[in-house]
Amino acid sequence: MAGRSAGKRVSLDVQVLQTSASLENLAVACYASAARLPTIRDGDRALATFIARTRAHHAAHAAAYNAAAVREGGRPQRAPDPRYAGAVRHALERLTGAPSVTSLASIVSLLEALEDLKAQSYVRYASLTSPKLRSLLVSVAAVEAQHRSFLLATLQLLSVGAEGLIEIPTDPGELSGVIGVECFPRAFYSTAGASAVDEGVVR
Amino acid sequence: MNRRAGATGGVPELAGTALAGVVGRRAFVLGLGGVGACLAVDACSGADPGRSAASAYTGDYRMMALAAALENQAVSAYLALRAAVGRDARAGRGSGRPGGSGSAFARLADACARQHAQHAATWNAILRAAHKPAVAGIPLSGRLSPVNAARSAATLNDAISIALRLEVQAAETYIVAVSSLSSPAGVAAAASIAPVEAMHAAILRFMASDYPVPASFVVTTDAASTSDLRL
Repeated sequence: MAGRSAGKRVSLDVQVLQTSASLENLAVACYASAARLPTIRDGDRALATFIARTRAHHAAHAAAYNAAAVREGGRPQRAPDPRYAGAVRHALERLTGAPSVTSLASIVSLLEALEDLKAQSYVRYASLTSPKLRSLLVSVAAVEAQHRSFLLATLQLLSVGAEGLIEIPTDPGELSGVIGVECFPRAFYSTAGASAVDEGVVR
Repeated sequence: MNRRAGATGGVPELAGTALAGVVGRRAFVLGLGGVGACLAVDACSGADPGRSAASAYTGDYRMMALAAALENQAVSAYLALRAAVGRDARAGRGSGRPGGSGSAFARLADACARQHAQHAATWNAILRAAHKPAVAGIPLSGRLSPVNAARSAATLNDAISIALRLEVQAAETYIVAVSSLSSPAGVAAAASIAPVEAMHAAILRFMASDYPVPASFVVTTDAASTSDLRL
């Protein structure tokens, strides 16, 4: 299977890598915007730290995907995923003036959805690419899933009014009854919401 | 993706995953039953270590058997940790033992054990579909050490640390395996399970007051090897 990019046929591996890089570029932009929102900038220090560190993780993922794309004879993808970029930007704009409690849960939900989208996509792509790329894809999927797991825990804590436990270090004894399967809701990672492989190819 | 379920019917737990239609309902349920029966007697020790010369598991199947054994080990370890938590809760002990401040951990352990049992069932379903024997027990070199350590966990931090080592090893093993497997079902299973083990690990780190996502990529230095398999 091969697509077209600027008049050239592009291998499936390059399509997957460019789309993966575009998803990471979207995440970098999203986390950067989230960090500037008053709710995060002036709010909980643990979340602000998480957002900064996670943004750096996504930048590293984008760099790794682009390096692999170049090794495979493709061009690096510097743009964000076109399918979701507008929706994410609008969502963040809406949150700028929202009340802080609403805004915080909504920001965390948005980031959680983005991590889930990326993890689902990479799990799916691992079954489509050549074997040499699979470990990279699943390694990144595992890291996105970890980001998502912490964000799900944060949502759980927000839902029961336990914002004070969103700290690192936290108080594990106080997490009773709150933290559990909600933070890893399925035994097998879904791929039903994966992005199309050619969604983020360099045009 | 919406692959058609196999002749044995779809497995609800696998709906929406890359495994939908790859693993049949009957084989999956048989696998779950196998895990339960094995753990109930707590005496399934796998094959004799000296039997490796005529192993039924070669190539992909050896990696799948290793995966099933690791999942069985995780289930046993979580049940042992859960028992330690329950024992202390009944004894009304304080925070020194897992049960003291560990009811959050007990809830987490139950959820993780259930998911690991489903993972083991999936690997065994794939093995059975290839006419290979399902893996019961923990046929691994040093096979009972994590379970024994779980039984004697002295503090909540001990319990979390034991669980975390198992989760990290499982996730790393799948990340290595996914590039070496050739079977589509094996690749889909490894890719679908690795992120779930990583999620378990992230929450365990959070409970241990460590940063939940320590690095941009998962290193694989602690991955298990098929040479650890005693089958």
